[in-house]
Amino acid sequence: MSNNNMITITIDGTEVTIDGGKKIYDACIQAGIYLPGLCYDPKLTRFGGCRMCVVDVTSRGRTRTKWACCEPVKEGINVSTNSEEIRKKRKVIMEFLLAAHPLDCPTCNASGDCSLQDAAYFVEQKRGRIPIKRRNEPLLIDNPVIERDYNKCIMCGKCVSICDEIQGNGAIGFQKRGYWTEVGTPFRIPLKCDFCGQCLHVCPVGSFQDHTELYKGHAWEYETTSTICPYCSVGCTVVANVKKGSFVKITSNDLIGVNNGNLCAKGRFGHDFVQAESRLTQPAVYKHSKQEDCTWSEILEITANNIKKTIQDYGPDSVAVIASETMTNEDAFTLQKLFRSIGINNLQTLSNLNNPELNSGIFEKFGALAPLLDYNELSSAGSFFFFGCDASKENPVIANMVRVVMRDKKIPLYIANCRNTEFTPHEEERILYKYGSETHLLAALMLKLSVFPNSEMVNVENPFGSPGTTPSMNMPTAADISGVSEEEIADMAKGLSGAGKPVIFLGKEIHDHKRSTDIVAAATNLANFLGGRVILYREYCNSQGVNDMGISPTHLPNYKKVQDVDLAPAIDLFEKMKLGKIKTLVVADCDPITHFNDGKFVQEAMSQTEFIVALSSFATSTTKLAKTVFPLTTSYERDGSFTNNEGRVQLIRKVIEPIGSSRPIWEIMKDLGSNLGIEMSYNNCEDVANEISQAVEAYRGFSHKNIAFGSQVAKYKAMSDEKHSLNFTIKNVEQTEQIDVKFPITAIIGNSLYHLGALSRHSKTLNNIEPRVSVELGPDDAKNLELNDGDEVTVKSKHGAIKALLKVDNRSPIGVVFITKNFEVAPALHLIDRNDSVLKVTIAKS
Amino acid sequence: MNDLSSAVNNTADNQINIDHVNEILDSNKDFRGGAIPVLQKIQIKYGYLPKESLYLVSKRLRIPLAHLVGVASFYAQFRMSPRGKYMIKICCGTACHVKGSIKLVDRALENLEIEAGETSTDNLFTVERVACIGACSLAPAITLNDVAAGHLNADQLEKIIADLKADGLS
Ligand code: SF4
Ligand code: SF4
Ligand code: SF4
Ligand code: FES
Ligand code: FES
Repeated sequence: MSNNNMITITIDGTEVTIDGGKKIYDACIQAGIYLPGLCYDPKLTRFGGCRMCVVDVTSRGRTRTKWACCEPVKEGINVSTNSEEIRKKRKVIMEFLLAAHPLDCPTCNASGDCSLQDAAYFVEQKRGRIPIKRRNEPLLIDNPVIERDYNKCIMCGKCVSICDEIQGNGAIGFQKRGYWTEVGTPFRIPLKCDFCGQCLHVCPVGSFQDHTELYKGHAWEYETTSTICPYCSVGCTVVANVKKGSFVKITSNDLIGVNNGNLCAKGRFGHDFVQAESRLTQPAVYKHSKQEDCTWSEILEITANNIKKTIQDYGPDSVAVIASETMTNEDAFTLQKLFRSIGINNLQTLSNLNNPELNSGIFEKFGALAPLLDYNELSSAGSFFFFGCDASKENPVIANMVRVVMRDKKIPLYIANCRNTEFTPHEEERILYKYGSETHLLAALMLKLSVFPNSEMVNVENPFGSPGTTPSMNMPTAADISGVSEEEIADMAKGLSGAGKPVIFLGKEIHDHKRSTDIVAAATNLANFLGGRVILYREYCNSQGVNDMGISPTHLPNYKKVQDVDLAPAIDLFEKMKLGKIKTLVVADCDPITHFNDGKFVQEAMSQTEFIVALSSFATSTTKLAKTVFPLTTSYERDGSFTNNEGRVQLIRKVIEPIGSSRPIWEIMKDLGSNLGIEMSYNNCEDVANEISQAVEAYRGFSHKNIAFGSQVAKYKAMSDEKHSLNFTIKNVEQTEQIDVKFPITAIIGNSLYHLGALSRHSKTLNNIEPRVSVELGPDDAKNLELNDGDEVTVKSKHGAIKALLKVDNRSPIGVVFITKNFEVAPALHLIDRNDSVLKVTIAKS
Repeated sequence: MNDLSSAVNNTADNQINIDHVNEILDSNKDFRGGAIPVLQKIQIKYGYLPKESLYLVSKRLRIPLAHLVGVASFYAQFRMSPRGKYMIKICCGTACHVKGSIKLVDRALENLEIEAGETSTDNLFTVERVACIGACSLAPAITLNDVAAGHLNADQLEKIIADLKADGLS
């Protein structure tokens, strides 16, 4: 742990001033002095196993040999890293290391990116005195992404640490002992884990390798470009490795971006959608009763003519746009600009359609789309409270950050969920509540926190209000409703108040909840009372930015209100479509049929629309219905920007040439504009960015040249902070608990760790990891239903049915299942009836 | 940690009554950190650490399986496979080595078609190499279920095994 006094030491004659909590190794790194250490990683707990970091430390006239990675810096010490003595010592250690190493460099994928190679070369180790004795362990290829060669392992322990400390998996460990030690899975069972690839990122040698990269190239052949991951809202920086124009792999860099080198499976391995067969490469129009390839000028003309005619014949309200939250800011901005300038205001995202009240509610409460928090501020939290939040699956790298803060600052973690979601492999403080009881549980915590010390009642609507008035509740009622015992609630309240300043994370489950606005309000009350913060992370890489840019029927860029538009309209866009009121629908970069609740209804509704314009990178259920299909580039083929969870605007960079004749949305909007008589004078994406920086207050100063802009968070914080101390009233305190004898199981639909949105399903690698939709069922329910892990099952709701793979695990308590979404073949969202608040299902063998 | 339960299903050895492991864990309720005492008790109960007991301990004590098995496979005191009815420990200490204990080891393993530390398929024999057992005057020495025997050659050891086999089968 750091204590903030700075001290000065001397290394090889150079003075270095450094934080007194650091180790000599850190000081060497800071001074740019290379040490051939192999097991040191500043982000992991020190292991001190390789011994290659030996240095001489002279203090008060005495010189001792020390390990730089373990030795704290002390004022005035004199460190020598390269004396004759030290060189000799390192050489001997290296001799032993190489005696057990296979020296497979010609065929090793790590060659050129191997710390052992570097270190051996640095110490000028030629042939040693000891004969090379290699182990002959088989190459283990037992999963789609991580290939293990125990022969090459130098036992640095970094993979074990990162998997446990940062990834919270503990999937690998040191097995056996002595010469036969191996770093891997117990009993050599096939690796089945998060597949984050953190282990291969830290592995200094070629023991853990990216299997998808095999024989595609070596480190020195790659051109590397940092850009932003196109999946979730964390906004991790990924490093694209390209060889001769073709995308080979993603690596990460500990020193760039918000993620400290951490990535999840999607970010690291899910990039092969770029070259997927399902990519659309040519514009197509519907003629002669099918879609046929056409030229760009043809598609632009046909589309523009249709839009013009529709507006003429039926008015602007007959045209609507549904846009994804994975578009860049530049795309979103031009899209809304073009459509608004021809009078079309019905601009939607799926998230807004799904829950207009949440979006408008949050806007009203916090003044921006979400309560934002700079990731750096996580380390000043008093405690973390995951409420209905499965962070390790939803925002895996946020989970990484939280584990690091917990480790370094000993900050406690509390979990309340309706499922047994995992966060670390170790003991955790958690409560398991009944789905639907969220606001009551939060009120009960408030009761125990003694807002009114002498009261045995709490007002559920307003816990700061007088406790006697209705609707009030006492502890036994709370326990009954939530299914959590009074003691457990009391314990958690005590923990939370003891630690203070909680950062409360509300997850996807809350986001999708029919009563999400109320839950956000209740959680905000709790946070406010304890001086903490509430966080509700959005789903996609640019959910924040797309909303900032005004893709919303109610708000213009910078959240300026549109006059005379209902925040939560009585009938939504799909219902309008169903009634034939929407004549032309533009679907930009998304597939509502797969990715929206009640997809069947959506499909029916969309079939009532005469003219669908689809802009998409891939062939989807929606492009099939379209009259004109524009092929889009993916984020790896163009420049632009995404705005993450924090409100940080980060640049994405073109790493390969666009596939086929695909183009980014802003370009298409510009040309469509020309056809519609709207001139937009952008020459490149940067011009759009410059306009954004004028039009959107929080983006002042943003430009593609101003890289430093990404190192700060867009300034909506001021807007949100001032409103942060308000207390909120819960509007609807009715119980949502519904008992349905025919459909007894409550189903929660969400993202799995390996799939998100429309992209991941086009990645072969992610499909290999998780090929199909699954249902997670608890062991007790499985027993009762006579079902086994791996069974083919049919999940039925009163609205629909899907076939799925059954997974029996402890995550699901009795009466609750979790179903993964995003699979177009068996879209889980088709089970949902758009009018119901809770999804109830049955499960049976198919 | 994702798929512990399915791993349990896959590896379940139906002959083992896992209840004792639960009992041991129940009686160690207050226990925090360090799985070694629990593993010791399990080994006393079953004679070794059945795989499914490790899955269960991992799940109940919330120690990642990879770390727990790491501990279990690190200490020589823990056995990961069942013990045969007859435990033959062949001394490979200096004195016995000089007197040709390797030949005893080779013969026994060859005869039983197992590797050192393993148990024969009929569950009768386990053969282990051990360090000096303090009976150097008997070199080469063995113990058979903790009873020492010495001055053996490979043929004699093979005869002992054959006799025990006949016994065990009758
Ligand atoms: S991929 Fe991630 S979870 Fe799996 S072993 Fe490596 S670090 Fe652990
Ligand atoms: S596999 Fe790699 S990271 Fe893990 S201990 Fe071996 S050398 Fe280190
Ligand atoms: S956590 Fe999110 S942003 Fe980071 S690599 Fe994973 S999907 Fe990408
Ligand atoms: S780097 Fe210090 S012991 Fe390995
Ligand atoms: S060496 Fe075998 S008993 Fe001592």
